[in-house]
Amino acid sequence: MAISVDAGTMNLVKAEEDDLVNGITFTLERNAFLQASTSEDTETTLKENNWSYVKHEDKYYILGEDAFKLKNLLTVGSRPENQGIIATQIGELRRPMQNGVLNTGEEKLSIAIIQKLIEKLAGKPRKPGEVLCFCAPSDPVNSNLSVLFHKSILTSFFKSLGWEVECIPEALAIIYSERPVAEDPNSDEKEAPYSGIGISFGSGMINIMFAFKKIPLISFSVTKSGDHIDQEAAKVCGLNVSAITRYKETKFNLDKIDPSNMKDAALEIFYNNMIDNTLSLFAEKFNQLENPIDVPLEIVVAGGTSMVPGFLNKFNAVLKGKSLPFKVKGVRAAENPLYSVAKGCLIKAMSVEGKKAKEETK
Amino acid sequence: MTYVVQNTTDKTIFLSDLKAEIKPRGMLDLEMVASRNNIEISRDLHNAFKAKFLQLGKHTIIHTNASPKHKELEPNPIDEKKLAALIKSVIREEIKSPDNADIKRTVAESIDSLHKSIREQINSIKISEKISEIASKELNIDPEKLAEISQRSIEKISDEITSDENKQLGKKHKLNAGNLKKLADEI
Repeated sequence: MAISVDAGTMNLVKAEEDDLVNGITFTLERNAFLQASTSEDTETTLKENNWSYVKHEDKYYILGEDAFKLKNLLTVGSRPENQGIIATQIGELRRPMQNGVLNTGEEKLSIAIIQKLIEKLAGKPRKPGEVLCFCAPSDPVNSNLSVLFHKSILTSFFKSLGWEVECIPEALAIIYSERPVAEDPNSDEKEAPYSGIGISFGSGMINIMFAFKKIPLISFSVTKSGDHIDQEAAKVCGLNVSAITRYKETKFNLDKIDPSNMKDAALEIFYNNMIDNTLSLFAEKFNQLENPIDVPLEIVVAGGTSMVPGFLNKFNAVLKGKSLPFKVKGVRAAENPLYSVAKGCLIKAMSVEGKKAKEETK
Repeated sequence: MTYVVQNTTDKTIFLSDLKAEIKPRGMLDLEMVASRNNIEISRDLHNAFKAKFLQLGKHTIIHTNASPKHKELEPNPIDEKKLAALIKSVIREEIKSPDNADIKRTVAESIDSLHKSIREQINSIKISEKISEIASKELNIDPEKLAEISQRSIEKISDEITSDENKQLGKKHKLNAGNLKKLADEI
């Protein structure tokens, strides 16, 4: 049975088909871990609380959502009176991916721990020849990040688990799952499916793909996305990044900006800037196309950073104020913005498996 | 930062303090055999770089249009101690003036976080500088080749990791598949 994995900076998502109920099961896990302090009863405590953990040498590491919850539960802030009491005991939450790719600055142990986490999530194929499709970012236009290194590491890791591995660009997965359609006067059906612009606003990166009839024509990524917004807004407001992230995820609404609220004002500016910058970069790339496409194009947005209430209205407002070299048919959010990429990868994995099966029966 | 080195000579090189052996013209990820701390302080590695028997591998992306940004060094760069003193004086000023506990706390928290992040960055620069200082010439390695070498050392560490096999990970969310099969046939 084909499966897919979307390894994002913030979340890991696995998707698999559930034949019995004609459904897809998505499994979401945080892409992070926390080192536990080691004592005689550490392992007992971890087991009693049913926390996910791994052990390396004599050290214990709590994985995924459990690490996140524990960190939030036990962090009491760094007020002077609390210094050295609790914050230093629970350690820092480690996120071995940065800007959409594996952080090569991290110790190899961190990458090994995250691979264990992915292994627990994806598992091994039940029989040989089963396909796993994952996504990788496109080449970034504003950074010299090593996308190829990231892609190669994950490919070789999934192969070591026994999967037949496929890898597609992250935003192409949105095109596969959301199936944007453009007019095509030259075809019998008068329409061209899988033609449009897919944009994934993740926490580490923004990935953009323009495809026409499934063929990728423009594909690139930008590193300044959700995490960048949080960091910049935190600087402006003089707050911790985690405080801004919490505010953004729980209270922030782009439709209800209170200009007297510093957090609202800062976040809106950086959201505005992110959308504007993405559209400008895309327009620049579009202008470089040898054969310009003049049919109106649909834009589909997905990813965790696009899930803030009011995002679509903000996107449309910025779009309206820009002079672009193409016509826009409409903008819509993916059916499930957090799962759209994993679903697109699953479609690809099923397609590859289906084609293989057909070839074998010939 | 990677710790992949290539032997530039036709003889096997032994780094006895790291218990590493690098075959003629061969490459090795030093993290396969030692921790980053031990690599950084290895005398044998230092000498091999100085004698140009070894080259340090690095990988860069070649598909980007972005030009790398270089920061000019300030003539009199601020060091960690000066920075800490500066931050402390800012905190003292902030705490003295307004009579608002929330503001005081917020400022203290943010400065503390800033200080910590700067300290981490200074440390990472120090480590990187150490290895680049001694490795006179860096070698560009094909990222796929480098990933293959790195994955081998990750697998070695991974073999030493034990985990609780019974615990299921992640939150499950079931959705209607809709026309999933049709879409898979179409693409």
